[in-house]
Amino acid sequence: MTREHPTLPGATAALLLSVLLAAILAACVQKPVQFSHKTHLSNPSCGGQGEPACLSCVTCHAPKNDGTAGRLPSVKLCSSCHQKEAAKMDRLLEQPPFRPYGQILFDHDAHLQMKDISGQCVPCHKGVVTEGVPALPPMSQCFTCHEHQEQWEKSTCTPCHQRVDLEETLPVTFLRHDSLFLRKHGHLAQNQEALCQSCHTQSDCQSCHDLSSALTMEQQRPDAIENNMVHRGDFMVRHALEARSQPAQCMSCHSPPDCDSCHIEQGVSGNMAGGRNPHPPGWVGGNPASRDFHGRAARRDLLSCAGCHEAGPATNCIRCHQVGGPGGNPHPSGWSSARQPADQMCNYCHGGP
Amino acid sequence: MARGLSLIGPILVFAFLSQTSDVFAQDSSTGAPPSATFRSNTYARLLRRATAPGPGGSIVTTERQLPVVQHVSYWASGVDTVFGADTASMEVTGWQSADGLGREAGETDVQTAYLTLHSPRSAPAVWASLGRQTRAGGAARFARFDGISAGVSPVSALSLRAYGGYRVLPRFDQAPGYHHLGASSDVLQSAPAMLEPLDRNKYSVVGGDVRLDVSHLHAALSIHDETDNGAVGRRNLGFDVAAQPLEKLDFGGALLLDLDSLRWSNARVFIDYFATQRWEFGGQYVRAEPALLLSRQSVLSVFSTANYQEFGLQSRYRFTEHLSLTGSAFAQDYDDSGPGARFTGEFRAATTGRKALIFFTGYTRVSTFDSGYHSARAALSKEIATELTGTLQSFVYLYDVPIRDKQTSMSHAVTLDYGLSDTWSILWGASLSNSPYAEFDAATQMRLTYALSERTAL
Repeated sequence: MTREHPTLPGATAALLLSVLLAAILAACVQKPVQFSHKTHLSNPSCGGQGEPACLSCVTCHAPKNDGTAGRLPSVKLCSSCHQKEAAKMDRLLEQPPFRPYGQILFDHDAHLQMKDISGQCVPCHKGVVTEGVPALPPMSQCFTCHEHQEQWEKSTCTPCHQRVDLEETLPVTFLRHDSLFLRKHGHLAQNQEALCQSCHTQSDCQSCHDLSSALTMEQQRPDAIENNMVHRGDFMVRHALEARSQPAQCMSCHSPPDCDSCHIEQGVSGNMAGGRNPHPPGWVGGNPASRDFHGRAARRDLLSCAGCHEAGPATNCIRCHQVGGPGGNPHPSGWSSARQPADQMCNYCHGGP
Repeated sequence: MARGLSLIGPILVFAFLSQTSDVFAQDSSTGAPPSATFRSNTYARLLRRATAPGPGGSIVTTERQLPVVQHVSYWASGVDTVFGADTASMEVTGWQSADGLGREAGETDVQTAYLTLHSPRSAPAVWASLGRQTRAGGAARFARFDGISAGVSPVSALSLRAYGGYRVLPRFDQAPGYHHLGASSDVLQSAPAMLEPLDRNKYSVVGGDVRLDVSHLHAALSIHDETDNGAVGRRNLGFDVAAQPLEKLDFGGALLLDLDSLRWSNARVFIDYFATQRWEFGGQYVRAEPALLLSRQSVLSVFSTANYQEFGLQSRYRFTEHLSLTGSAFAQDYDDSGPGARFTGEFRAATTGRKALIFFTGYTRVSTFDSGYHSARAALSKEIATELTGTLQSFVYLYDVPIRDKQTSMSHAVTLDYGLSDTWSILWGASLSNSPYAEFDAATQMRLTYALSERTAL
């Protein structure tokens, strides 16, 4: 094969188009309506004649004892002051409050009745009156009153966090499901299993790792464009090159017969009637120094060989590489094995009973 | 029959234990409240029409019209049993294909079906799981088995686990011959039903580990042994460690020793640094001997192969909450072949709230010892209207060396997802691609999802 140095017209054009599309989309996106709690709560001109009523937290967020944390006022309430901005109020109230950890199972009413809180909202929601502070309290603030050490040690996130929310929530403060997470998730699965299981089930692992499924992951979740899945929808067009680039990576989930299984289904395997031999002339029996000789290719990418030739003792590799055969000793230097001399696998090449 | 037992057994035990719990359970107010999730995904592959290179290079046509694949999963936890409050959980996941056009009509597989019982929260931790389950990480890498696993944690920093059972091979419970997935014996056999059934007793797994968990250090020593047709398949010793000495810094590594050849089959070290809230940065080194990752019953596993090393850096910078840039660069070296490299740069923009939008664009360069590719990607997700979300993805590839005389590939996909109610949603997706592997490949499918979560209420 000859390695060429291609130009990049298609890729460059696609990249430029993408950037252009992004700019257009960004320009078209309707900006969210900003709401200032501080302005509403600290307006000095209120309560007088001709002035709006003075507001407190409960003016808009009246307790309802229904157990929901996100209580938004009605458009009617907002419109009592903002008569000409009903559409804007609609948009504002359409925006669900940002809940980075989903819906916390939290009884506002019970907390407001506690002696230390005495009906005050601001001690927890400092951000509503202080610039630069989040409106929602951090989890550490919950811990200032509650003793959750046991749950913490046992990695129990429920019942404060609903498991169904945790499925969709990537914690960012104490568990970093960040851009670096994917490549080390196997370590964590081994070392912190209980912590993983507080949000995930074993079927979550299998959704990627179970190769027996009738549908591939990208077929099951074609809309998950944000997932850094190895097998996105475009994987087919690069799979052969990926296998060469990172052979051990494929082996994290696959065994070599998986390659041939799919090749057979697609009708492109050499292991079937009418299948084409993918190897160049001189692959076997040619000059060992030739770049097309199979030995060098096998040493650097044995797993691709195994994709078709993984047939146990029936593999045609044995024909030449058995003891006394023309293929020579296939073992690496310093090779040893704990198997007994009578081991059947050894005997395929080494003879014996 | 085996499939049925693996599914029904845990359910019956679970039902019995939870039904009798009302009489014997301790005060349930001390445990987590019970919760359950049921999810069903029904996939209808409306059409796939592809002109792909076929046997001997001929062109074949593939058409699939409405073959259905059904996935279901059920998960429950925090259930009271005779052992106390919040002492049981279970999971059942499976799928069935009514394809009718594939190799087998009505394929079914149970992916997980296990019941876990554990001691009450107030007691020393002891647990056991029975049924079809998985073991991930460490010496096991990723293993599925039908059997039992159990663990004990005598003190909070130390725990021991052990597991054993029969291996779950792909669709082990299917018609004879399926377990030879991809093997020559399957390929060359015109009537798979004539193949001799596999003896499951010759495919077993056993293993265990000991783990140390102190505040900022996690370490595990594990062993995993599985048989392949009655002989050693994989016999590994694994060591994993992860530490977070500083809030902004964590590092770790893993070693996998093949106990048959006494060679390191895989070694991995990583270090991550979170410089600021906006900037994260990580590095990784991997060394592997790929042949040792094969089953020891593969003749090829004893062949001399080039070791493979990879070193790389990865970083993400968030300009704002909604804009970020991710980049990674990895260099590879094969002892016998010279270097390779991978580079990826990706830009992400997103808005939150209603009408949320996510946009990606990225470039990837992969170079191997004899070929490589450039690729560009653009992806968009947008909430078009209330409960209606659409995605668009496009990929362009340019190969260094033409594959089947083709130097480029293009692939495009679109989805529309509509939430019918709190529990029901429907998705339509379609894709179109042109590549060395399919001159023209068009496919479309529907997905109907039902998801019910029993939330605990105040």
